[in-house]
Amino acid sequence: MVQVRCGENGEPAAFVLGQTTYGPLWVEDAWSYREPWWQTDGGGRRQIYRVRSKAGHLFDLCKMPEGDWRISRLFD
Amino acid sequence: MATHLHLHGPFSHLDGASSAAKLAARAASLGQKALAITDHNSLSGIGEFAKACAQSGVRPIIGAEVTVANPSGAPCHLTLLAPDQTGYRHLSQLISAAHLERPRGQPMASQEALAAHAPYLIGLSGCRRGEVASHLLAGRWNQAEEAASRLMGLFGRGRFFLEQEVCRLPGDRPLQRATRDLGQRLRLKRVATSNVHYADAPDFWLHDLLTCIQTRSRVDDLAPGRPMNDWQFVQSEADMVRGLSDDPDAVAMTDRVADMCEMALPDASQQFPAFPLPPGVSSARTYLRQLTEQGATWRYGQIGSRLRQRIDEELSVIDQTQFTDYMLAVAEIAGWARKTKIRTSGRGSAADSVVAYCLGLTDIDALARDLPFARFLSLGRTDPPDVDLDFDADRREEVAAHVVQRYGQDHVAAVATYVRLEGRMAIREIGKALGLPAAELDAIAKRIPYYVGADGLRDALSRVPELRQMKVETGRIETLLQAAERLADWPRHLGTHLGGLVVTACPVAEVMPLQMAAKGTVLGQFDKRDCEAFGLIKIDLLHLRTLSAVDEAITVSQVPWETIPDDDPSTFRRLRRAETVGAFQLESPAQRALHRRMKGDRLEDVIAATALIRPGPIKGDMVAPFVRRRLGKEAVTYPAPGLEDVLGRTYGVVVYQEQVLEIAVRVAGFTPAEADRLRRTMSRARSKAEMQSLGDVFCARAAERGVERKAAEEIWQTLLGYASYGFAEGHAAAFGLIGYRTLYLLEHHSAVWYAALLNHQPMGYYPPQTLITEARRRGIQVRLPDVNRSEPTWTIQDGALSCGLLQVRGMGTKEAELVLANRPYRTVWDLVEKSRLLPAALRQLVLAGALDGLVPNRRQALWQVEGQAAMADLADFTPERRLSQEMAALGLAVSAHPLSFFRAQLEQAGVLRTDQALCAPHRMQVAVAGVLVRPHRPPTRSGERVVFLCLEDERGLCDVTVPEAVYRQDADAIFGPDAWMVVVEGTVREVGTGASLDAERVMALTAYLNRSSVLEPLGG
Repeated sequence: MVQVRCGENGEPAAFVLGQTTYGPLWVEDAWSYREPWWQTDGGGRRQIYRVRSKAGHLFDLCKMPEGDWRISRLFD
Repeated sequence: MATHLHLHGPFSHLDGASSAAKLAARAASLGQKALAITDHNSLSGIGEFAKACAQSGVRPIIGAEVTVANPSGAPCHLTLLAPDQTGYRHLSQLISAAHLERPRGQPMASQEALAAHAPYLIGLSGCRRGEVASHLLAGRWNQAEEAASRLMGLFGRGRFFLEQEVCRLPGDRPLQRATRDLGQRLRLKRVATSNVHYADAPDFWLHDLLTCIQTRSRVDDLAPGRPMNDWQFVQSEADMVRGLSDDPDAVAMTDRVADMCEMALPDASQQFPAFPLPPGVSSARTYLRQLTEQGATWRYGQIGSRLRQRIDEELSVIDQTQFTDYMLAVAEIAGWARKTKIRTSGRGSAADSVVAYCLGLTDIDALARDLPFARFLSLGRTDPPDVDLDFDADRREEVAAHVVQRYGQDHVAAVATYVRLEGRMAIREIGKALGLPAAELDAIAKRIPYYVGADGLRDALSRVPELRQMKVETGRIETLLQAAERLADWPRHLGTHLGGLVVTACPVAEVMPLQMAAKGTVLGQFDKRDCEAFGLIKIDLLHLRTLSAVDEAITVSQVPWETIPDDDPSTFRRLRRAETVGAFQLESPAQRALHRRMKGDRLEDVIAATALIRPGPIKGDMVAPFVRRRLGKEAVTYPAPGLEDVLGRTYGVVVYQEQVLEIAVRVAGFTPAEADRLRRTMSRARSKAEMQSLGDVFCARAAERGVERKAAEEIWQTLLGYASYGFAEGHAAAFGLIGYRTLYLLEHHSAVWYAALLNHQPMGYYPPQTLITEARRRGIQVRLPDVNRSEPTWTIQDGALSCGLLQVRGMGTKEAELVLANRPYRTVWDLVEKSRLLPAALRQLVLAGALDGLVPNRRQALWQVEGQAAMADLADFTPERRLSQEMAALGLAVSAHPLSFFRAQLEQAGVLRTDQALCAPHRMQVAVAGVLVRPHRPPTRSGERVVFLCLEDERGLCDVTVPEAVYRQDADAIFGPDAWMVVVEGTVREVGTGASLDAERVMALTAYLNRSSVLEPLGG
């Protein structure tokens, strides 16, 4: 779980990981992924944002179908 | 408001998951004013799309996503829109080029074809498979720029746009930025699209499922090409802007592009080619009159005043409706066929025309029968007339080739059929994509009745007994059923119409895209309804195998077909005995049951019978009153005064379509065109509300003419009973005449006729085995093939029906010629040496009994064809094994009937032969054994599931009715995978001069006798 603050356009503007706040964020790419609809518990939509922090680090932030955020991938 | 300019509907075949109606409704709900259709290399969907858009108040834009050869890589996609009708013509030609330049591969337009048509079109650079986007995604900036510049040059500045996809896929944002930058550099505008494949996100799963079917993968597989998210729908403007934050102006640009496009549907009206006139003839009208009058003299001897008046009236309507050239064209085709000795016969509503009769298009004298011309053509009718010409099936392609040769390949194309997803196909295809076992799917599909639609599967699974008994996995079956319900009637692929050809004055490709059909003919992308809607005139050149059989039979028997007497007493005696197996249109169990009761003794009875056994008269319960009145057992009454001359010939019962028309004209004052529209609407109407609304109009119009409300309603109820498929009288007369004449051949030249029928299979109601049984029952000897005597086809030798060599599995024309060329053969070695047939063919000949004349012991013969010496002490196969092998080699049981091996045991068990059962007293309890012939479950008005079948044994046929309760109990014996020979216990029911059986139990024969058999069903 990660705390994400979104801008007016609904995209991540900053996030807090542990004691550190990363932001402002530059959205390099954004896409969504649909979970398997044919499975009993499937069908949700994940929204993924590839963001670059002010310090130049790359993160993949994933908004889960339930609405909570995760860092699904980290580049350094 | 955004406009979606890149959209796939159902005619993107497995790449569009929402109906045109749903797509248009979604756009309308978002306030979008226009919507484009851009199916893959196809315009088949534009008719449905335009109609759906009109209903939703959205302006349709016609386009296509065309695959184009890529100078620097894999074929690429380009989104093309037709700004106007000129653009439409070019788009249609470009799609045709894409298909016809690669008749066997995936369609792909060349750069040259694109260059020729692009100036008349609006181009969008396409999806990720577009040339520009694919370069940008790969980081090939220079090549992207070069491609964009080249395309801009082809389309012209202001008519080519870079496509900004908003599909929320990985790499979207960098691609959008690169596209924006490229556009700014080249001063090229961008337009946003979401590459729509379904109306709204909840339909995503259907698109994914269709993609699995298309890519032959299963939902559990990771297959390339499957969509990863659910954003390819008709998005709102706000969603588009959110997904394209780096280039939001591209969203607004969509409306400006939409404004550049007007509705560009094809208009082929007046496009039928002018008929080339002979020298000295001033006009087509004059020429048609000349030909008609010549024909009238041929048909009638002289032209009396009544005939003259009728011809004048018909020619006037033909002229005013501008079908003169069409009539001349079909007359020329029929005339050419006759000159070329190709047997032809006209049917359909053309038989209501005296002009058609005089031109030799039909053999029905519409004047003598007083048939209304309005059923064929009338002023005010918008649909084209229907001249159905049947040709000898073996030579129909020659006729089509003549049409192509006369009008030019560019002006002729076959009409398409939209092959749609029905019940059995849905089970197999959707089930496979869901990962269900193929064997299980096959077992279910085989048991689904043919008429069950994809949306009727749930009901079928719960109600069809043999399906209910199957243990099917419920989880994914439920998903399958949901998908089938949503995708019912979805266009799966294009097929070729049985005989429809369109002929146009301009090149056909300007009106509809062309592609190659599987058998190598040029196929248009519109089906007959779309052809009609867009003004294309269709000529129906159909093939009728019966005519091929007739041609063969009259050549052999030297019977003059046209002068067969229509009052032959022995032919009518056969009809009354209902011994009609093999007669065209008169052989089905329903027809035979009717003739037993009706006791027909004139051609008119045959014609009426042809029309009576149709859904309209059957569902309208018109058969029984007709028979009672025909026999004088019920008084003849009429639904209203003044209809005696309309319904007199059918004893006051509505049997023919013309009668519906005439009643509407007389009672409610409809014009002929209105009456025909009423007939068409009635036959297509599905809902009670629609029928009620029609009835209200009919009664109101009748009231205006002074008919009392109650009387008008009663008449409407009479017509309502007919509200389903029925025959035009002219059509029934044409078919009835052929039916009667084939019955004459069956009566007087039976062996010749059976041989002709067997040589032109598949045709008729019964399988060839039943014809063999019938021939034998009539005392005709049926012989096995013989390498020293047989011809390639079935022939008559010494009065016997002799099996042809081509009937033997593995024997083709070449093999048969080898056998014939090297006769006679004295030994098996002789045959092997001289014919040089391959061992496989020789083995099949042995098993078929074709070497019995050389070596009666087939086991020994098998050794000899393998090159082994004869072994005197080697015993032959058992008789049952011999028949089993013969059936496998011939597809027929010729030397004996399979039942004969069980007869002794059946007699011991008290089981009757079919001929014994048919002679048994009414209501007697009997058990009868036989081979199942054509068990079927026709849809009934009551919804009750009754099975009709025939039992066939050594002595003939017995018709059996299986009520729903018995069907539920014994479904597996009738429709199960091993269903073949059965014993039916039941009650004899007398029907007129014959009888049938009401089943109370149906059991597999082997189970009934508790014994096994080496015999297997044909084709099993």
